[in-house]
Amino acid sequence: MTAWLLASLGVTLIAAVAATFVRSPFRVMRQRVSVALLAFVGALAALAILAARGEVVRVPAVDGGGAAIVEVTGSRMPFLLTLALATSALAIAAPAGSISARSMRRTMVGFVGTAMLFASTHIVVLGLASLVVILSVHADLLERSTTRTAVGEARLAGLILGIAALGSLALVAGALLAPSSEAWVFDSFSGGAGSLLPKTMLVALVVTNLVRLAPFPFQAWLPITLDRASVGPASIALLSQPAAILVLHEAFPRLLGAASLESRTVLVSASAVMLMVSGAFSAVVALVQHDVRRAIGYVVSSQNALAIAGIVTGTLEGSVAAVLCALGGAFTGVGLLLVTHGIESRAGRVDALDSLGLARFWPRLGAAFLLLALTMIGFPGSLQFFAEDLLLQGLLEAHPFAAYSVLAIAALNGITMLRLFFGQFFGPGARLTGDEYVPPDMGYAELVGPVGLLGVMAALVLLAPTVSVIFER
Amino acid sequence: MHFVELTQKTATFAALAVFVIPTLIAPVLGLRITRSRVPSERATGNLTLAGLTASTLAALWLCIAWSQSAHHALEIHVLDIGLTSEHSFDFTLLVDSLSLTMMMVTSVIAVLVARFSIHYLHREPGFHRYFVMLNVFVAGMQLLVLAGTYDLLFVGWELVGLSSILLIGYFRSRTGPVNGAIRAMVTYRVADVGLLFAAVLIHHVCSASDFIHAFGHEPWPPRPALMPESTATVIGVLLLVSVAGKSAQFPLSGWLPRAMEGPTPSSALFYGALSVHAGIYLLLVSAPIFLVSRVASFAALGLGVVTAVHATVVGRVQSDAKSRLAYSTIAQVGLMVAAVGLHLFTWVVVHMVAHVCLRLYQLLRTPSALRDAQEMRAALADLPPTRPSFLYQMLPSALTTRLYFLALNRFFVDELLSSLVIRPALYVAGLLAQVDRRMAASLEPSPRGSTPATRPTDREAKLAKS
Repeated sequence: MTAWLLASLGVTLIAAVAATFVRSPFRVMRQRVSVALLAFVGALAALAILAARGEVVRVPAVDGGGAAIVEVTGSRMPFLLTLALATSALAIAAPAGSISARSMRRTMVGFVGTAMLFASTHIVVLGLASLVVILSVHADLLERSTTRTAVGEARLAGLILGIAALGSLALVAGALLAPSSEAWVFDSFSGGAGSLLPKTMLVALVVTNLVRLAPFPFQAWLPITLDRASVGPASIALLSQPAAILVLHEAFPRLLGAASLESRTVLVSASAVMLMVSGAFSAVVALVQHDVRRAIGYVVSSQNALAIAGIVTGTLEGSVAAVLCALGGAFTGVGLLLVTHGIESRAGRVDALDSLGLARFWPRLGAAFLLLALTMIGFPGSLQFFAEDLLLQGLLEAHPFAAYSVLAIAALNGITMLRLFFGQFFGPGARLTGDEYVPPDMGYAELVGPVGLLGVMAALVLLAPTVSVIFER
Repeated sequence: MHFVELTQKTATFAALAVFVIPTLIAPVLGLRITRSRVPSERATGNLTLAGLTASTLAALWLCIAWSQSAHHALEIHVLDIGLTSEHSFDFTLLVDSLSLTMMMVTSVIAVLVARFSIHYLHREPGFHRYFVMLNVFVAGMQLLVLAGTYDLLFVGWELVGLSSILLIGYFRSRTGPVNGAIRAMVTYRVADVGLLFAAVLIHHVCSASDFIHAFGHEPWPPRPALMPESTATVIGVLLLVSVAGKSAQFPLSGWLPRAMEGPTPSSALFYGALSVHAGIYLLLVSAPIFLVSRVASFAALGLGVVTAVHATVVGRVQSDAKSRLAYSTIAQVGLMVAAVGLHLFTWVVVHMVAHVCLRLYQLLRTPSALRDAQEMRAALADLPPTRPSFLYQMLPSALTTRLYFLALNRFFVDELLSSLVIRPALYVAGLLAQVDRRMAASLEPSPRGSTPATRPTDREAKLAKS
């Protein structure tokens, strides 16, 4: 199984290198479709073998110290599979020419980094994978910054992501400087006792993953990335977020374990309040965004804050809700990005306040956007709905204030997403003359992305009980 | 008779058939729309009619079987989605006298409106879209009515809301309906928060979200719930907030007259007949809470009376038939809310069913209102003109003028809400949005040869260039 997984990731990396020598956009298209399908098949096969064996598989580190470069457990494998599915959908759905060869290369590298974030519990691998994801996203952002405003925004995003990158570097350096290879193992942080180095590494781990989840005051990089970066790296930025939640789920209780009982209570309460403020901030800012992708970025940031709050509660409901919430936000975010890209390639712009009236010309685009938007805001039956339900149950006992804030934030996000839908697909819009060419609606190949992601979300609803069983264990 | 014997199995089958059939038809019709070829109107209409008729027959069977059985309230556990070992999502339905009454009314009215719509919307560009939404609405309304838990009721509540806002914006190339839809959507979200707050509190206090366990195993008509009065007050007020949004009560009633911009059959079904009464149904289901809390009951009474007076006065100066009917509906629903405050629950059910039927008929007749008025005027031509009412003559003219002016402007409620709530909120949101923009602007590179203080922005540079 591990061989399957490593082989599929290795092929992706080789393909990324090979993409350097490919100039034709059609060849890039074929290449990315092949790679995505290969990654999907690899992950599917690994899941099948895991189901057959039902065991944790570890690949020992180079020095044999017990750390796992790849630890494929029942809890992590479904995430890998959904990641592979989402990337496949992305590769197939993005129209030819929408992702340049360079961006595709970064997407492939970012995919490998993200997969390692899901699969590994090895501190050095986690740090390096985090760096790979950050660099692949920011490199694309910088390349596409052609105006002064864009450069300013890329610098701001770079500044914020730089904090995460520094944290990752500190993690790697700490692990390498540690006297024994035990510091490479994630479990070595338990209890919070011991020297300063493990504690520093723990803080670095939490900060790195916290920044990547874009809560206040680090929220700016996500909307900027979704708006300015090309669809591939932007999707990788979103897909890597559930991995950060998984790591935080491991790291935050250990960080709390290092604090005294009194300060632990204060820390948890203060974190819950801060996260609610963060969620409310992003939700309110999303309300007044013109650009659809930025609005999606702020909504995802707001939902990430709620997910972190679920982890902070320390309850089973909160933890399961956090994972489901982060997965839901990431996958619907990618789907909405694909649809938004489809709108832009046809209408030439995406502005939520323009009343473009696009539903007249492209009803499939409208239906895909509406379904994904409803899934994102937790419409009943969606993954986010169950996640919010669990989150409320997890928060209500310990932090009633936070529980009620979740409802208000969810309502604001709902208004934002439906406003985006109405702004783009309803209204008088542009009057087209009879001679004007209207591009065709989404084709079946393009529909694979959004429909595939909706399928993933539906499958994840069924997986929710499995996730909870794993957390209980 | 054997075929009407109500067992757990047959009840489950029938209750599921009532809302599953429209639930299945909606995506089938939706997929047909997205095909490149335009689907036939006849197929869409016939499929919807057949589905809704089958759903009505299932509802009828359930009613007959229930009336012949000894059950007072039948709880049907369909599914239990275990999210964690301690928490699950119960898909439980409740069949009792209240839910059956509303289910039957919904079924019959849905079939009638579907039949009417086939002719009324013939050759309309959004014909198929309308029928998709109609099926979603019927599925949502039946789920809301049959729900045995607050969680499931919320699912139906949301489906009703979604279909409602999409049909308000049915004429999507006009600005008015789209703005009306956005306004309704925002109001519905406020209502959703109230309902969710209340549902979470009920679940927290009663350790159950199903009506039977939360309110002490008593079938409808209700008995007081087993909870402290202070808690019941908070839950009751939250429920009233949600009802104020969904059933257009004061001060959130502004969206309903604007919602009349949708096609007439949808106005009749949603804002005359069923959707606007969803809030009343919620209050009736939650009646045990109002029996405990006097404050919540007074609040319901006050809300209902204020709404009824406001809507009656404003409705009298409306110049178009649909707006006038909208305000009449608001006034009647206000009276129902007031009656809930007075604990006249059975009276509310009778009033609701009668009002649903009357208002549906009136709204479906609205397109012919002009002709009706002309015929009436011709018939009454020989009679002397009607005199102003006694109350109108008694009031001083300055007051009536003032009242007329206020009624024309709907007592400035919408303007007050806009200037006191919406605009300040958007202003704050705009200020917060500036935070990220200013931070990014401070990191912009300065162009060669200009100081940071004088450098032009992108927009200024573009303007200068043009």
